[in-house]
Amino acid sequence: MINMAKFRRYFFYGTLIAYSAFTIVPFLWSLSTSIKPQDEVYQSNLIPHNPTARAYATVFGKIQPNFPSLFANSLFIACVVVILHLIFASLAGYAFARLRFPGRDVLFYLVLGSMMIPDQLRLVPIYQLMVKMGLISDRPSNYLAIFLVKAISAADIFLMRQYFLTIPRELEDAAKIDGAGPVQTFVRIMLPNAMPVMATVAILTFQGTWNDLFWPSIILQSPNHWTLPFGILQFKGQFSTDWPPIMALVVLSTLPILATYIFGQRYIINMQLGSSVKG
Amino acid sequence: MKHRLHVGAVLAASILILPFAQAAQAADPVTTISLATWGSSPSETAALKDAVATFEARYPTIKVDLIVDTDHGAQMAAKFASHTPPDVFYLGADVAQDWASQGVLLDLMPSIASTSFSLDAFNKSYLKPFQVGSALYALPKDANPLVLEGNMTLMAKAGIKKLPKTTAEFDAQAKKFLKKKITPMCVDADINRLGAYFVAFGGGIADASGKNSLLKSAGTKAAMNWVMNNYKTGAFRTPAQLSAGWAGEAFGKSKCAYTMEGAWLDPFLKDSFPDVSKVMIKAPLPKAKQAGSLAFTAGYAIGKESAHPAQAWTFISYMTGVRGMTVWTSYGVALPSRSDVVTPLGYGVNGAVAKLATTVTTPAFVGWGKVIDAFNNEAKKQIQDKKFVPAKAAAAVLAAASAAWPA
Amino acid sequence: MATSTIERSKRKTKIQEALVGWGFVSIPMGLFFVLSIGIFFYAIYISTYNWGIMGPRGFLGIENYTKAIHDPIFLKAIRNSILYAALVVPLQTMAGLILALLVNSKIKGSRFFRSSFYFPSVASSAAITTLFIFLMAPEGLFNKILTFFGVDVPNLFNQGAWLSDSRTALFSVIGLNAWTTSGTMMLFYLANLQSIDGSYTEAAIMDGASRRQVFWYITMPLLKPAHFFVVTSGMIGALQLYDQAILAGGADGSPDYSLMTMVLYIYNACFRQFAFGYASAIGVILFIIIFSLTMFQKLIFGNDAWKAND
Repeated sequence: MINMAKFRRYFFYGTLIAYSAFTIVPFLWSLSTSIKPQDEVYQSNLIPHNPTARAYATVFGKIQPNFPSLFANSLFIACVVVILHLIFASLAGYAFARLRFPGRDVLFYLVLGSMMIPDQLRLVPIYQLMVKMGLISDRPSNYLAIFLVKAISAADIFLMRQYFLTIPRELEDAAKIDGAGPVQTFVRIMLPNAMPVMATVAILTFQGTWNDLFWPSIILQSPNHWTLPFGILQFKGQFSTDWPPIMALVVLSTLPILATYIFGQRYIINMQLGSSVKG
Repeated sequence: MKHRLHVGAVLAASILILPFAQAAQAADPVTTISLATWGSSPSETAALKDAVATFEARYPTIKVDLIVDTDHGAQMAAKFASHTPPDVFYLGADVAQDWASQGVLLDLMPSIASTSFSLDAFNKSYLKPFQVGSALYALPKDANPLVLEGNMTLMAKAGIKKLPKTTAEFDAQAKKFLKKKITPMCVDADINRLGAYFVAFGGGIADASGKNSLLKSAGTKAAMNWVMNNYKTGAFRTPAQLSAGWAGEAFGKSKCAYTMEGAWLDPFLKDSFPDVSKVMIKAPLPKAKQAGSLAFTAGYAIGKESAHPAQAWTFISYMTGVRGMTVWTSYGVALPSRSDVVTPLGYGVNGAVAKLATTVTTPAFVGWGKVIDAFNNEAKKQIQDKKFVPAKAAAAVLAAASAAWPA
Repeated sequence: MATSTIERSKRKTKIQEALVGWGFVSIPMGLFFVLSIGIFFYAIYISTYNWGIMGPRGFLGIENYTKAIHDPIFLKAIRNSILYAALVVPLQTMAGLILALLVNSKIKGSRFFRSSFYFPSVASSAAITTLFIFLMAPEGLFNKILTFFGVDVPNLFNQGAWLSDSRTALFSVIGLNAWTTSGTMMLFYLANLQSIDGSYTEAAIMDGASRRQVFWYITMPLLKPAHFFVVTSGMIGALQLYDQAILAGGADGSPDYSLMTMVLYIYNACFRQFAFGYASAIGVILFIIIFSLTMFQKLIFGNDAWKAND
């Protein structure tokens, strides 16, 4: 009996560890390719026979604009978009979940509906609009175009709304009895209890913006405004692709995402709900 | 607004200090033109930058702002639609007719007529995709024909000394390779490769007008039967079947003795597979009824709504002229599309094939892309089953491609 | 007198609440109206024209729509997208939920697993798909594992060419995406699990409910709004599959259009054929399909997954 339980435990943890190993394969493969010499790139050995730092030297020395500039732009754009999403998604998510106002349900259907229009179809009209607004240029106002396109995400509003629905009513009612209005309830009760979902939105938005090339490639005009995925493109060709520098960039650009995740997940887990009220 | 202010300031300044103003007028203003290209390879981008630098040195009043597009089609569409096209841009021969039909390209004939630029040196076949009636919408910047590349090490293993001159010779060699478990040829089931054999067997993809289909001709049918039979016997294998992204990669990995690619293969091998690069030999593709090959070209075009059409013309007439094309092709990524520009060293075979009359380029009609898609999708579907019947498969592929051909 | 004061203050609260509500949604809604909803109505308008890069080239009425439903490639794209969504959504939802429950429990090393389970979702779709193509090639790692377990790969019906065989390509992409999105789905559930009041489960366990009963009768129903989000947003995303399809199958979704999806079809219409009117008609059809499926889901999930305050 005890042995059976023990066996099940071993099996359980064995499976988890095996799956974890499997999840890290892509990262290890990227890392391995990034330190391979050119002639080993197409071989399937995970450990390079003659490891080299050439790709990293290329990434730090040769790309135009240089790596710090690409990195700084990526960081700037991602951080601004994260902040915009956190503000707009929490406000709108709360309103759609908890506040009563005429037209609420219709507006929410429109939010859902806006998720159903593919970006490929929006590309040309949005570009035309940005040109008309004078935001397509080499000037720093070019950033504004990216922020406008990415300022809100229907998915994040939807996520926030659904999260607020699960927060027990009692928490809110307690505040209402104390005479708090909707704004105070939002700031004092809902926001502190929404940390897990705020962290989720922050992680996913950061990652999505960080990896995105679709909008930046059409909107950002000046190399001075380019982001990291532009750097990757410089090594990619129609017929030949220089894999090691690409993978070096993939590895380097994965690190900030991991950092955000590891930092952010602390706010997701162990935030026992209602602790502020129960005391 | 800002511009007007600037003009006003200059006017005011010129009234106040006349002698200086005169000096300022004498110096030519510098115009910046934009050039949008697609990313090809790091070495090709470097070569283009060098070639552009020679232009800027020769024409100091024109600066070129190079934009490497991530998705040329999408980005150009957005810029055309918002009336802000780049001044000069790459135009693929395969899509040239589609773009021209949108009315977004500038006809170059008036510029050609008003300058001493001559079209005589261009291979006619390379101009065709860019012509609509009497209008010409781009000048071919280079050419890249398919040639046969062989791996001498693998050839020696099968006791083969020379590349096959004819398809019959290829068939005989294929048997020897297969006995040694070597894949004779890696070629994708793609009309942009297999079409070379349509010409060799006396058929083709389209006739000289570039519009009428030759897919139902006897030559094309015979070629397609031969091709499909090769996929059946294993004489041909696709890159996917050999775990490679494209034929050049399979060739570099020594997974096939032969492949049929253009000059782009050489720098790729040199970088990624230097050992195979050293044992590579080249020859024209095997003949059947005649020699036959496909060539790919792209042109420099000017937007109809370009802000600087005159400077744009200066740029493309330089780049497609003798001097510019000599500089550009000297890097060995592509062959000249002009007969009066020397072929770069090491590309003798490519250069000779580029000049052949039976080296044909892309058909010239709107919707060619759909024919490519129909052919390739059906061809890959037919050969994925080991049990396919070559003649039936060949007929099915040609029927699918013919159905996609606009009436 | 007293009642009317209460009435008045109640009305005041109501008006105040409505104003705050509108205020909170005003900026996002304004941007949506310009950048999505407005564009959608514009798309409906141009879908009735032969609309090229430079604008209208003749009124067509519903011709773009009739052309679309008579194009076998488009019908295939619809079939592929729906099949993809029908399989990938349940898979990624289940995987995400199981992973979230695992790392939310008190197992040893849950912190480590929390990070590693999220790993497949970290890389960009381009990077992960490139690797996947490499692993699924006839001589790739996947077939090596199959061979190890005694599978005669070269004599399989697809000869081990998982991504370049029309019979297995879409299913391979389904496998890839169920795996890469599972980390994201895990994160959604993980966040929502935190909002479940521990006192419910404690009370249930004290009442003698087994852990399984607590899960099925307490945790799952409380997660309903989360399920609705994960399934709906997952489906809306899945029906717009594009990145992995074009990377694995090319713009033509080959072989045999097995990787042609609705959005890839729109991409082709827009940027290879410059048929903006036609592409817009496809976009409208896509919208109708996604919208009806979402409403159907809403029906299935019922009101408690959906309804806000009343």
